[in-house]
Amino acid sequence: MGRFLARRIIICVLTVAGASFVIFASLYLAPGDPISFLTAGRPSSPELRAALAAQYHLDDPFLHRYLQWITDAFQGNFGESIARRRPVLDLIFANLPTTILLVIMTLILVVVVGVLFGGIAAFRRGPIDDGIMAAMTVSLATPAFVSSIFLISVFAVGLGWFPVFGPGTDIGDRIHHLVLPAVALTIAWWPVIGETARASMREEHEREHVETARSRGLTPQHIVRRHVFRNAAIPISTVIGLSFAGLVAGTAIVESAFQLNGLGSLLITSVTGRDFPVAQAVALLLVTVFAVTNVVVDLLYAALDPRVQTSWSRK
Amino acid sequence: MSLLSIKDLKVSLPVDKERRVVLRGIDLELEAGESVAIVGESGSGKSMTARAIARLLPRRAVVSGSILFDGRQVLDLKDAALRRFQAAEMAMIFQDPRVHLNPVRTIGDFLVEGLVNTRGSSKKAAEHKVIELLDEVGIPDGTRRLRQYPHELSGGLLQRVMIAAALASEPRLLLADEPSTALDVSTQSDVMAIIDDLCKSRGMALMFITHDLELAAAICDRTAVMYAGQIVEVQGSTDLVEHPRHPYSAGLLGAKPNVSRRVQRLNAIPGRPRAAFEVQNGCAFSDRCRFASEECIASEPTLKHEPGGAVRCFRADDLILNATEGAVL
Repeated sequence: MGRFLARRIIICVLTVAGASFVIFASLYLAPGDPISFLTAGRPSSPELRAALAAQYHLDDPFLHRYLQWITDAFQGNFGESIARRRPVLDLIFANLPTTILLVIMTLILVVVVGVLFGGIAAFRRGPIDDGIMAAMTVSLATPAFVSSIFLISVFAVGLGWFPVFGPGTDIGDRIHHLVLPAVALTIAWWPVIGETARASMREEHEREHVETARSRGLTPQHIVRRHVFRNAAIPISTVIGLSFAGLVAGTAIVESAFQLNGLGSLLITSVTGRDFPVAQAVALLLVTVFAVTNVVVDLLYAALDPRVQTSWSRK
Repeated sequence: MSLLSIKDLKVSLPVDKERRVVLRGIDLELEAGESVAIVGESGSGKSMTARAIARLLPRRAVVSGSILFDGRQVLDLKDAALRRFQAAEMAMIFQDPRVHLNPVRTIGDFLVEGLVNTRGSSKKAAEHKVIELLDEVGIPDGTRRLRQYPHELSGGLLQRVMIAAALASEPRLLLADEPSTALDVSTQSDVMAIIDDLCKSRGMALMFITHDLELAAAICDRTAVMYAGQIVEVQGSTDLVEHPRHPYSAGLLGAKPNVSRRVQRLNAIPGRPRAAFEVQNGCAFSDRCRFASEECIASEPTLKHEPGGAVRCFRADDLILNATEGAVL
C-alpha cells in the first residue's frame, strides 16, 4: 500500500509539473504583448520598454524564464500583479476564503440533495422516480448564470431574504452572502451526484448479496443502510471527489454573477486583463487542487473498499 | 403433517410487456428431517421453486397455489411475519458464494448479522456461536476468519461460511440452490458432505437443487425431476436412478458420460430444453421424446401418484426404461 501511495504521489507531482509548463507556455503563446499592456497602450520609449522587459524577465530564453518562475513559485513567490501592483500571493490569499467557503457550502448542499433525491429515485419507481429524473435533467441543463439571475431576482431583490452581491464581512455574514451563490452552484451540480446515487443504489439493490440478506429476514431499512448504501458509497464518493475539483474551478461564473472576490473571478479578470502572473498562479493552484483531489479520492476508495487495499498491497 | 407442502404452485414473471410462465403447477411434500433433490436442466424452474418457498421472487411475480410450512401459508406472510419465517424457519445457500456475500463487509459481519439483527443476541455471544459453527463446517481458525473479507477466502471456504451462516439461525428447512456447482471439483464433494452431515445430525429438512442426478441420489432420500416448469417424476432416489419411470429422467441419466466405458459419441437428449412459457398443448417433453404417441402430442398428462412416487407420462406403464443405455422400449 505504501508503494502504491508513493507512486500516486509521484504521478500527482508530475501532473502538476507538466501542467505548470503548459500554463506557463500558453500565456506566452496567447496573442497580445505583455509590454503593451504594462504601458497601457500609450506610446513608450524604447528605454522604458527595455526596463519593463528586464523587470519581468521578458527577454530571457523561454526555458530559463520557465525555470525561474517555477522555482520562485515553489518558494511561494508568484511575482507581482501587473494590474494591481501587489504580490500575487496576497491577491490569492485575499480571494481564497470566499472560494473555500463557497465550495464547502456547495459541496454539503450537493451531497445532501443529490444522495437524498438519488436515493428516493432509486427505490420509488414510477412517478416519483420520473419526476426526480426530469428535475435532474432540467437542473443540469440550466446554466449557472441563469439560475444566479433567477435567484437574485426572487430571493435577493424580490423577497429581500439575502444580499444581492458582495462577500460579506464576519463569518456569519459571509455564509449569509454565500447562500444564493451556493444554491446556484448546487442547481448545476446536484444531478451529477444524484444520478450516480440513483444508478449505483439501484444496481447494488439488484446484487446477489442483497438477495442473501433478504433471505435472512433482515429488515428493508437494515438492508438499504448496511448493504445498498454502504456499497453504493464507493462510486458516490468518487463522484463527490470529482465534483469538488470541478467546483473549485467552476465557481468563476457564479462569483462574477454575485460579484464575489473569489479565485474564479480573479482568474477571469486576470486573463481578460493580461495580468499574466496572476493568471498563471491561479491556474497552477487549480491544477494542484485537481491532482491532490485525485490522490485523496484514491485513498478514500481504499478506505471504503477492502478489495482495493488488497490489490494495492499485492502491487 | 408434512413440514412443507406445496400444492399447484404456479409462478409467472413479467418479461417486457408480457407475462412468462415459469412454474406450471408444482406439487411436492417434504417431511421434517427429510431430504429431497430437485433435478432439472437450466430454466426448468428448480431455482424458482426454491425462491418461491423463500419468498425471494421478483416483486412483480404472480404466484398462485399454496405453500404450507408447518401448516402456515407461506404465500400469505407479510412484513414482520415473513421476516420471522425467513430468519428462523428456513435458510438458503446459493450457487456462487463469491457474489452472494457482500464484498465490502467482513466474514464476521456477515455471520453475526442474522443473529444480532433478527434474534437480538449480543455481538459477543453471536461471535462465540459462529466461531463454533465455523469449526463444525471445517474452518478451524474462526477468530481470524471473522476479520477477513470475502475476497481473501477461496470459493470452497466461502461456501462453508454460507453454510455456517445458514446453520446459525437453526432453521428447520435448508434450501440449497446448486451449492457446489460454482466450486472447484476438489471442493465440491467436501461441501456436499458437510451439508449432508449437518442436515442429518440436526434433523434439518433439505431441499437440494442440482442438475446432477447421481449427486442427488447420493445425498437425498427422494428426487424430483423437473421439466419446463413442472415435476415430471418423483421417486426414492435409488429407485429413480435404477428404474427411471419418465423418458426424460432416463434421458438425463443416459446423458451422463460413463467413465468406465468408451463410447463413439456421448448420448444426448435430442432437441433443446423447452421453457415453461413455450409449452403448447400436450406433454412438454413430447417433441424430444422417442416414445411420444398421438395422445402425448394432443393432451397433457397429469402427475399420477403410484406406490413410491409419482410420474407425469401417459406411457409410463408401457415403457421399461434403462438408465445406462438411455432409454429402451
